[in-house]
Amino acid sequence: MSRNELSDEQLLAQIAAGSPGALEVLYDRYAPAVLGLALKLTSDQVAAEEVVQETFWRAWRNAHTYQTQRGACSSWLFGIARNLTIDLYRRRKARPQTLLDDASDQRFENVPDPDADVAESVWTAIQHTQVRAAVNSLPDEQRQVIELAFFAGMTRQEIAEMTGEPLGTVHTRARLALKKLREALQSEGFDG
Amino acid sequence: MADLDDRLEELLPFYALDALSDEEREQVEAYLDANPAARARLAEMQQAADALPFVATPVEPPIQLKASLMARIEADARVRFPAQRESSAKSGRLARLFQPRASFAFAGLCLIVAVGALAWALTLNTEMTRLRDDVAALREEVADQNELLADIARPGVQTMQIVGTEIRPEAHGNLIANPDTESAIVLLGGLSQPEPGKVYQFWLIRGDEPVSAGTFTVDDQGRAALVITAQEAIRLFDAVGVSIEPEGGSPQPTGDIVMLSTL
Repeated sequence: MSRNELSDEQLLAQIAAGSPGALEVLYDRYAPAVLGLALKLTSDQVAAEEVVQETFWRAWRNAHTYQTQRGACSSWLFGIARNLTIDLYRRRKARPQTLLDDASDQRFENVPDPDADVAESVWTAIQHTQVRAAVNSLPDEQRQVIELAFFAGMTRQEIAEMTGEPLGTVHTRARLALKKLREALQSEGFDG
Repeated sequence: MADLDDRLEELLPFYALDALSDEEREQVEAYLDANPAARARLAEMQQAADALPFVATPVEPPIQLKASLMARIEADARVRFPAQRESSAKSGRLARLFQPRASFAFAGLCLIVAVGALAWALTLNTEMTRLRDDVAALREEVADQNELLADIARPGVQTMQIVGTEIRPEAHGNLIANPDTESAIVLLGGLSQPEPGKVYQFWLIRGDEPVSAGTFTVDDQGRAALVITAQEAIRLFDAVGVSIEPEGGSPQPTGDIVMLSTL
């Protein structure tokens, strides 16, 4: 079995044992998604590339700390990237972008990856469409809470302050948003 | 106590969204450790939260970013995992053992090196030819990939859901096609690995007549992406299905029907 056929978890086990080759496969698999996420959060190509490099560096150094029962490898990587971006912006005392606008994505050309296979690319495109449709189906006030918490890294108190809503309302909106999002993803057939 | 539990329940969505302070996160984790029902509720929220990164459109990083990262990692690997580099270090020490010998031995060594260099050059030439072929194949693959992605975005393209039968209710998928054309992209998920000697077979069904659209296997996550081509326009078919068949496929479905949907 070639490395490309290994699961994410098998690759992480090899990375933890010191295999740069396994890290390279994981990079090829997830770097475009991580860069896409970082660009959405930063709208800054240089900062986003910095986040990508640091995310995979941390994956290399901390692969031994990954625990399967705490979530998928992709979530672990995205979590590292997101936290790095939020830290970066805290240092700069600015906020990441929060809007799910198509325009911000279209400023960056999506160049096909010659290493990616067709099936994987089609899956990624479909997943992107499904999740975007599901998020867009949420009522505006619920979507806003998710955007501010997840993409802008704001605390619940900060969200309450910014939106002018009581904390209890923010809690309710977050709970309902995740519930509806899960249902919408299921009806979209999302298989992340 | 109930008040505290209520407060921690309110924090669960923000835990899933990774938007809690360290102190709050620790409180929630202690609560989760003692409360399996809360863990189940969190798992449902987490499914939704884990999908959020997919909102972003993937963007291919520049090549130099990977090169720079891999150089940093290779350097770190040499320091942190020296055992993996022992073979090259050993061969270096072995080479040094021969150095102080007589001059004819040195000349012999030079000859060996020269022959080795020639062999290496020939190998490199072969390798370069192989890489050129690889690049050509990859270019072709990228062109196919672009064509396929463009097909999805073309006007008139419709997405039709395909669902699992009671034998495999968790199976699901989409058929993406312009119904006036003969080709379609089929994306399937929730399928298990077929038993050894068996494959999945995709069927286009017109009336009572199934027409094979090919056999396939699934990846380790139970997914498959197929490009199918029919003899007639997709709109002329009434349904699609997937059955389990012996390797090589069958002229008609003979095994379990695991997916079936009308178009």
